[in-house]
Amino acid sequence: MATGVVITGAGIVSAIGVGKDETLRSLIARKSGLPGGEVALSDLQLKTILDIPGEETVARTSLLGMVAVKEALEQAGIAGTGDAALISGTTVGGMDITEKHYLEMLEGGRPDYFRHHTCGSSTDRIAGYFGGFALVTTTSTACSSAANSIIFGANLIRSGRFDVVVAGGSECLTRYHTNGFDSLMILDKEPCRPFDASRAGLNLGEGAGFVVLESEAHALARGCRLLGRLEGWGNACDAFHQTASSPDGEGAFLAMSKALEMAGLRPADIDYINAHGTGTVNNDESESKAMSRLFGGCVPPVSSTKSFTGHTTSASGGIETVICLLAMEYGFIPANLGWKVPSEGCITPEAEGRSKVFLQHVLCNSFAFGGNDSSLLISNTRDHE
Amino acid sequence: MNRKVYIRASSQISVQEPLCEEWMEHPKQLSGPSVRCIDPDYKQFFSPMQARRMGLMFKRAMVTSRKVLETSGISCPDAIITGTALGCIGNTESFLDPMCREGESGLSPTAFMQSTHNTIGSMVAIALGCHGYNCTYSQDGVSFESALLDAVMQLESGEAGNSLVGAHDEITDNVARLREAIEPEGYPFSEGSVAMMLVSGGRPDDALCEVADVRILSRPESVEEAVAGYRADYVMRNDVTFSLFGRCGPASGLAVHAAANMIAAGRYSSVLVVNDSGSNAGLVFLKKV
Repeated sequence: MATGVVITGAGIVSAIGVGKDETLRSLIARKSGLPGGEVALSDLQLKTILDIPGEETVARTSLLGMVAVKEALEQAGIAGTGDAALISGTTVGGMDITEKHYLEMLEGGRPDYFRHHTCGSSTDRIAGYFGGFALVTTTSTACSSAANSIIFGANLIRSGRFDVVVAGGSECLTRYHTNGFDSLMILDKEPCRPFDASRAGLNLGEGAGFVVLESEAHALARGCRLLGRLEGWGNACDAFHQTASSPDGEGAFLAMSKALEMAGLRPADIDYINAHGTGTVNNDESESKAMSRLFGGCVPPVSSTKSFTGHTTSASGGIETVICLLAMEYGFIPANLGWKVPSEGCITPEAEGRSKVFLQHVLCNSFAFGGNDSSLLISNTRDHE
Repeated sequence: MNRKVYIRASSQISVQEPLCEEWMEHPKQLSGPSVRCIDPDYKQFFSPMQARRMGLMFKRAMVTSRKVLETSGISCPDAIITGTALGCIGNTESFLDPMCREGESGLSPTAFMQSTHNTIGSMVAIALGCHGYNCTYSQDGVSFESALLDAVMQLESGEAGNSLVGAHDEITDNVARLREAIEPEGYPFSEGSVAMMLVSGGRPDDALCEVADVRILSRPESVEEAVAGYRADYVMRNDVTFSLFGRCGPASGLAVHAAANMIAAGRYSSVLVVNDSGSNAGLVFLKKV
């Protein structure tokens, strides 16, 4: 019998708030952070919160990550991280520094800025802030990076290698990927409308979301509160196109199916799906197809909280996992803002959201360029009364 | 009880002679601040149209991956796991350079699409039509060890029966200049591509070696205590690795490739590949089957 993986801490920062409390208030009040998608704090303000000297060069991805990791560790009551692992997902890494100092770096005698460029260096910087971790690594599968960090972290626990793993993802907005998504012509200037007939693309966002994963035995021995249980996960490759999703949603279907299979659950056991739901024509249709294939005519309530936070790319799996934990704890289904008109080939999301519901099992989807599709199955540690 | 994990096949394109191991008798001596791969003739692997659309790193990744698939007789692995320190840095520069110099209009969507780190692993999956597990790690010098650790965990538990693990990085003129400026002393900076097929279960007589352990240690004060604990027949250190392959993201993967072949050739009964030149250290322990 493999070790159970539980969640004992969660931290979040995005356009709808710094920390879980503010995020929860925004979700319930249906207060969106779009179309801007920026975290309201400047680099300097983040450094002040974190007690980092203002003149120090730190990638914004690292700063956002530190804020979320700090909150997660505090909730879990973990002071020393020397025996824990830190797994972060990012693709942007230190690109904000690279693009700002590009010419200076290449031609102006400041090659040292390149030290901050890599994904790995941005995660190392987060780890260093907490005095170091026993193992540090970075997943980089574009928009499913954080979900894959959580999967790798869960495997570190399940294999008996670690008792405590902090996993999630962090990504700041950069000109680089804003222009990149713009060149693909999938950005909407209006607030995104996942699954709506008029949807015309995504809004980029930024932020970080991390959870403290723990072996069940370790968490119980410490006597700490369990926020949720990671009962299943699935990672599959759509293997269709470098950026487009397949019309049959094969990768998404396989990812969700694997997560259910691992948890030993049936489709009917799922009470909510936090969709990848970017708001692009292609993703929402492909994801809807995958859900219809798996759930038949009984697709559970679905919403895309990217209608609040924007698409936080590599961080999205972490941010949306924390949102799922909040939804389970406070018994609500977040709204799918901006949805008005059904779209042919798309599921009908929970436009208004719901309150006073009990969520036993939820799926959290993260899909990416390259067809790197992952789904996490998170379960409530309380039983329905 | 964990299943044992073996390397069944391995292939490299590096600064040494590509797609073979004969060079190991007389490795090329590296000189200069940076060194490029010795590329095979890609005409034998790709049609002219395919070749035009693929950057060099993708070609290397495809060729090394196909070679190990062929050698191991596996057409679609259960998992494809990739490590890359800088990702698709060439395409990143193709998008970034005009953006920083000329402004934000008329940028190439193709360069952006193929600039995320997972492009390599997903391109392999698309070419093979593999819907299995697919992940990419980017942790500077231990990107390969991260990918290997992921593979080993899944193979030990039986979640995967085989796994294609690769490490791929390319060097551009800009990256070479930047790295030389930051760290002027030491072995040449380089690039490389290595792919290996890991399998689990049974005792495959055709395996190169067993992967007995893989560890990543973040900011260790010293790895020597851990190193001593393995009692390895041969300890392959960074200086040997870098003198053979130069300093590059896949260096430790290339070292594991070389070590696996040395074990298969009967030169050692066990090898510990120690990669402790960066802030994170990797230890890979290989044993004779």
